[in-house]
Amino acid sequence: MKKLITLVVLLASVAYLQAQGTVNFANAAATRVNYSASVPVLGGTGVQVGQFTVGLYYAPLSAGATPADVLWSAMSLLTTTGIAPAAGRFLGGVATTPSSTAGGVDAYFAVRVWQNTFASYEEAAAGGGYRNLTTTIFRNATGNPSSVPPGAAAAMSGFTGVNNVVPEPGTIALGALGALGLLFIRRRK
Amino acid sequence: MRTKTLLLAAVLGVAMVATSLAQAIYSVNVVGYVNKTFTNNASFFIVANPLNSGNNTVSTVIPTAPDATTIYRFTSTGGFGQPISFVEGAGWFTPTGPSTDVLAPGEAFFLFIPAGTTLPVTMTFVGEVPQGNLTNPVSIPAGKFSMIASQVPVKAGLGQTIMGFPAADADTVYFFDGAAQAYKAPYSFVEGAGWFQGATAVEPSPEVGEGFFLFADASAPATRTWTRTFNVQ
Repeated sequence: MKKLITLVVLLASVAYLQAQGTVNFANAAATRVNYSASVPVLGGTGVQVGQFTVGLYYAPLSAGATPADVLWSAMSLLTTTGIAPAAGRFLGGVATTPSSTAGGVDAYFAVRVWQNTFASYEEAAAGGGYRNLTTTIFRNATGNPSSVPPGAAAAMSGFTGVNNVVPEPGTIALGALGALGLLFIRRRK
Repeated sequence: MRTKTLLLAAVLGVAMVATSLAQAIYSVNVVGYVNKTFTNNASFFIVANPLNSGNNTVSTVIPTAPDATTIYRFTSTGGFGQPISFVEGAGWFTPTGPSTDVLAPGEAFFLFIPAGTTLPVTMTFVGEVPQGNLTNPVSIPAGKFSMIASQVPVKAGLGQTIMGFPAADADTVYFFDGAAQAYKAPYSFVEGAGWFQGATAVEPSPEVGEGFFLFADASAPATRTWTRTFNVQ
């Protein structure tokens, strides 16, 4: 019984020491989510309030030596929020990493934005159009709320904004081909 | 005769009112301002509102700030709450909407000045000096951290009578060094001996508008309240 209690206490201590890291999932005017400069009329301006979902993706440092080494398949969606209270801005609150990243330890993060009529980034990407935006993977510090004294959530200082528009031209061409096909079928009828 | 009496009474009445209005009116309120200057960005600071500015809501206490400036409030039971961010042109927001948070004198909080902010940043706290019998809104539970500050804009050691700090044995005070972005060496209170930083007898002395973390030992009274009487002479 004594051994069991010791083991439980030990595990609890390890769990405490391995408390997860925290980041403030928010951006600034300098890092707002913009349409790509190549988008007519909207190019370079912040995406509208209430029309997009912003997702924070995460991977532990073990996913690669540098951000460039980390594969998108290793990134998991941590949390989502919306565009508010101003164009291109988001305030998602404190996001907590899984236990694979202890508090105060760096981790890899990325931000993806998609039109909120789609359930996910992947669906938006498949849907085509100017509906999904992504950013490169970046390394960021995390805060440690279990440190002595407690630490606040780290700012997303590695985040440099979202400007690039996906889908790629190939996807747009595929979409256009599909539309032409539908038009052709309707005409034949 | 009756009319004369009435007229005289009326004139006297008006004269008395005029005299009372002409008398100097003294107010016991002391209004002032405190400037806090921050000289590095991408940095955290532990700050406290040193003056009563009406309702003490965040938008009243800090009407404007650099874009993406963030405040983190702390409670001994819940830890850090959701961030309160300043959005240029829109004001203070939490993730759920406009912030209605109250930053009353006595409560300390983390203030984050984001990277890229033009320096220095000066925040001006405007309001009344809290006076009379004061009770700090942050209570001090045993075995937990509290983020606390002096309710009045006075720089003095926590052991001084003017501060009225209810120290208990094994209390530990942590100041955050905004320049180094690290905690300074902690101060500990030894019952019957006073405050020490390491082996040196020295009192923690918060700057005006500066807060600190206080860890109350489990052996301390279950809950303490920092009360004091303060009057500007």
